[in-house]
Amino acid sequence: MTTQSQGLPAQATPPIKVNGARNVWALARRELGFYFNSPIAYIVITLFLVVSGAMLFVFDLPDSDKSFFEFGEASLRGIFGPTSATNFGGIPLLFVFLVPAVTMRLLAEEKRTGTIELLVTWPVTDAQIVIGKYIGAVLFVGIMLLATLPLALVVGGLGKLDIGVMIGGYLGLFLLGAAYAGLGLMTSSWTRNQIVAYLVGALLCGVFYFVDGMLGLLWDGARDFFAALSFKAHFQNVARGVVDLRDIVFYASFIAIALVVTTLSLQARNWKK
Amino acid sequence: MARTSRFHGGLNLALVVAATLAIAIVVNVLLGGLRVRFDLSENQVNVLSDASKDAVRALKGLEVRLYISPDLPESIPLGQDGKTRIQGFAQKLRDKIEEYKAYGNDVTVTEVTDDVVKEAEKLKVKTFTGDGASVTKEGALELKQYVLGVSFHYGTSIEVFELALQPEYYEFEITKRLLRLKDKAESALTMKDVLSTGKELADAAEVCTKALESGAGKDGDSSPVAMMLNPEAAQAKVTALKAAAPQIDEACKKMEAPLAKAKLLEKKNRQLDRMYLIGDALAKETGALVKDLGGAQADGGQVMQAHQRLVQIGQAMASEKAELDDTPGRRSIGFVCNATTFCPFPDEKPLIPPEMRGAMQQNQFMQSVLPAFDRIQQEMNMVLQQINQGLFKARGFDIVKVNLDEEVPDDVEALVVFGAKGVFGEHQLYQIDQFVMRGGSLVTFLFPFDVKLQLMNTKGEIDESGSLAKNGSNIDTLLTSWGIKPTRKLVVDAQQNGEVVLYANVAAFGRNFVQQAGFAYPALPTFSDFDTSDPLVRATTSLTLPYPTGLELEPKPGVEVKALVKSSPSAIAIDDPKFPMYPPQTMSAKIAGTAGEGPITVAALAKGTFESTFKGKPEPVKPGADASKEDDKKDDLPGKKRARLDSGTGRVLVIGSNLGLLPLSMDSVFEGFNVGMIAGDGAGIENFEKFKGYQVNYQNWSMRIGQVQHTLQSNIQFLQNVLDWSVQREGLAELRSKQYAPRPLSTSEEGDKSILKAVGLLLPSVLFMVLGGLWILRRRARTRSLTL
Repeated sequence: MTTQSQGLPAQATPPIKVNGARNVWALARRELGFYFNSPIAYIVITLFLVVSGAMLFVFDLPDSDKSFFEFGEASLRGIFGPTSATNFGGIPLLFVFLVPAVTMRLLAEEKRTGTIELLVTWPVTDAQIVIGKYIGAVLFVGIMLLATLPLALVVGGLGKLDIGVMIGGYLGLFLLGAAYAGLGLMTSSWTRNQIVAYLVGALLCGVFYFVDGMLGLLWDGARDFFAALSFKAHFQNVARGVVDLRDIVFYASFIAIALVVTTLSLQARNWKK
Repeated sequence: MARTSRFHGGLNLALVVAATLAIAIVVNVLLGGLRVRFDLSENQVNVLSDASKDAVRALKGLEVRLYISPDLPESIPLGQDGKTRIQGFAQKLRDKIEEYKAYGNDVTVTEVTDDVVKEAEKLKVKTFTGDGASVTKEGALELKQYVLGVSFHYGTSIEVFELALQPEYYEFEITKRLLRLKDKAESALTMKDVLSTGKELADAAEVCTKALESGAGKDGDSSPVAMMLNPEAAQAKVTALKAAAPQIDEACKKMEAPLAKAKLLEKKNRQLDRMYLIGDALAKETGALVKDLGGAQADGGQVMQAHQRLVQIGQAMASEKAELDDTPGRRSIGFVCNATTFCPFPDEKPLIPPEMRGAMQQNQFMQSVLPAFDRIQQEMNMVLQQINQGLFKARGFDIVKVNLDEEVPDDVEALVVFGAKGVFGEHQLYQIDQFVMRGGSLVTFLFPFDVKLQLMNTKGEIDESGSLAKNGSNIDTLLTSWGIKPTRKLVVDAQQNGEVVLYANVAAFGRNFVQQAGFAYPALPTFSDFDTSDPLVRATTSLTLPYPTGLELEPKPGVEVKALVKSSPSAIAIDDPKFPMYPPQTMSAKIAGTAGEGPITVAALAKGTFESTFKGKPEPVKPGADASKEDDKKDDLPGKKRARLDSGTGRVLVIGSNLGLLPLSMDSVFEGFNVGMIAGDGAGIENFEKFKGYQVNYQNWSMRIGQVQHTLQSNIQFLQNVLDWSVQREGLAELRSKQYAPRPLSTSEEGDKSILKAVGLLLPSVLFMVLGGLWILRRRARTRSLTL
């Protein structure tokens, strides 16, 4: 007696299907989990929220020598930062120092401990590793921003807040944070040392934030060019409540370049073989 | 091997990075050309409004020229802090112009790049200075000039937006100019005769002036001082002028024809009338000079003085002509200066006729009174000039004084009756009526009540009292016949009101001080109920109107009447003149608990086809006119007199308050004054108290303005919107509202602020820690369950 199956030729073991999106999401969750399963996230975000609250309610507002209550206007200028090209402050400035701290360990730590080798044995591509880790970091930045919403609620309770401008401000901060995260991840892929990754990341974020103000001063003729490269100029547009395709494309291009360089940098380990 | 691999890897990396960068740049450049933007802000403040889009669409083939100095500084010396940052303004201006272009109809934009400052100056685009300076050939230090502006060219008309140093107002300023440009181009056709006559007159004056200049010879200084110092040179010039007299006469006689043309067009255009007066003076005085030159005993000094004056008059004609060219499309707002209205023009009429002054100088008493009167008049005129400039002209409104005893000029598009306290004559009311019938806009700010609080008496003391008196202006009769009836009941609100500033005793350091303080005052009600369908008040969030009257709406056939501003439900209307107005606490207590009568309308708008209030009645006679005299009949000449209308399509806006702007005129301050009081022997001593009263009147005007002045500050936007509305530029009112949306905080208590600061600092972090704690607990519980 033979079964039907016996008559069939033996099936070959199907190849393991690599579902890119699932891999990326798994990696992103792993990274996010890492932050929140240790006290790091809680300490960092708590500090971030206290400083943000102080910037909004205690310190003088950007472009002004008055504090929130002295100024007497229901707006989130204190956390969204200045509207002029030369002043700085608010969360955009805070992010210059904070986001590289979030991303510094992403690849540098893996390289230092050698877990990167373990990671590449998984059925994932280098690009998926990079994107997964990047999304994890961006989600962390998003959660940081969401945690500031009670500040907006308090201000909204005190006066009529322009909701559209608020949404623009948060969108701008998210895009800015995402671009910083791309830069931070990129510098993290260049070294095994987290401190070096942090310092170089913060420096690069700072350069791209202040580029119009700094280099524009040195070289008058190229001020417009540097303004086009400036994170701040693009952020300020969005923070006014204007969602302009040019700003979105700028941030998307920047992130894409950072991720491509990071992926190539990760692949560089194969050159020695 | 490893080295080769590293080399290939590096090369590969460089290539991929370069390719990615190239793609990114291409994508940015390509998509940068697409103008895809969404404005999330509440009033769409960052994208062009419909009014701006319509304005640019209406100008097919518009040419825009940008004047932007390539080396604009980061900041310029301006403003209170000494410096204003202008970094990035050039790009913002370019962006804004590009946005207009995107919505325009065949709009071309060019940026002037060569000699931009010189090119700008050719079109009279103003320049500004920065920190930079250069040394001239003569060794003098010259501040560097910069330009940031735009010129708009449509047909033969030009409008210029100069000193573009406030990006938040770019849209308002540009749209304002585009609307004006359209009007200008259209009016240039209808005003062709006025403009061509003006040109002919200016050209003839130029020929005359040149003849005068060349007649005196080009060598040497012709100034009176130089002539005085050098009599020989003066005599030589007079001799030259004598020789050239026939040529001068011939050249200047060419002005006769354009002057005659201008005379025919009298009262058609104020600027042409002005040019006529200047040209006429030039022609007549030149004729007199030529006559003098023909005499044997011509005085050299006098001749040269007259010659200099004539050259200056002739040269002034060029700027007058430029002013005339700018006239088409200018929408003038006429402020009625009759019936003791608030009239923002200095009163040039002297209180005491000059011919009486000489006699009065002999009187000792009058010697002390006259300077005081003169000082009051000077101060009043200065204040009025400041109001005229600061409140209206500097904000772009072309306001003119209108005397209703004469015809309202043709170019007046709107009439403003601001706080009439007195009674209009029948003929004056008729003029207003006919203005509306002809399609004009009438804006009436009512002055229904004279509320006097803490005023000064003739002893120089402040009276601790208050009073309410009704003013008896008869403008109501017109308004009522058109559907808006002032109730003449004072609207007060115990719950929503502003503060009145009064003197109060304040105890400090164990002593009592008298100082000014604000007190909540129901007679300054605050309004927040607006008809948001109307652009005039669409973006207004709050108005505080001093001593307003309620309005009843009684629509007439063919007329649409609507309430624009209404009180809160808690407002009540007071009709009792003995109602306690002072102190504010007593007034508040008196109305506290009274059932609200609101909402009460305090501003309303009527538009449509109105019926003349004078329909079926004989036309009122102009005061002082005598039908039997030929002079009085001149207005009746064919083509001069406007046809009487029994109905017409106009617009009427009524605001139940004068915004706190009390009339300041010789009539209001020197009420009851007549020359007889100061004539005769020992003149005026018996009227000493009255004279002191006039001084006190002026002081009390200042005090009363000061009591409610702060409300005017917050009502200025509304006032500007009203004036824009009056000249049919509601779009601008909407744009202005777009720029300014106050978002005041609801708390002012110090204790609340401290609590809120603490909440702001701790609430988000505490919330986050709590949520984080819950997350960790949940996770631990899950892990534990998995272990089990």
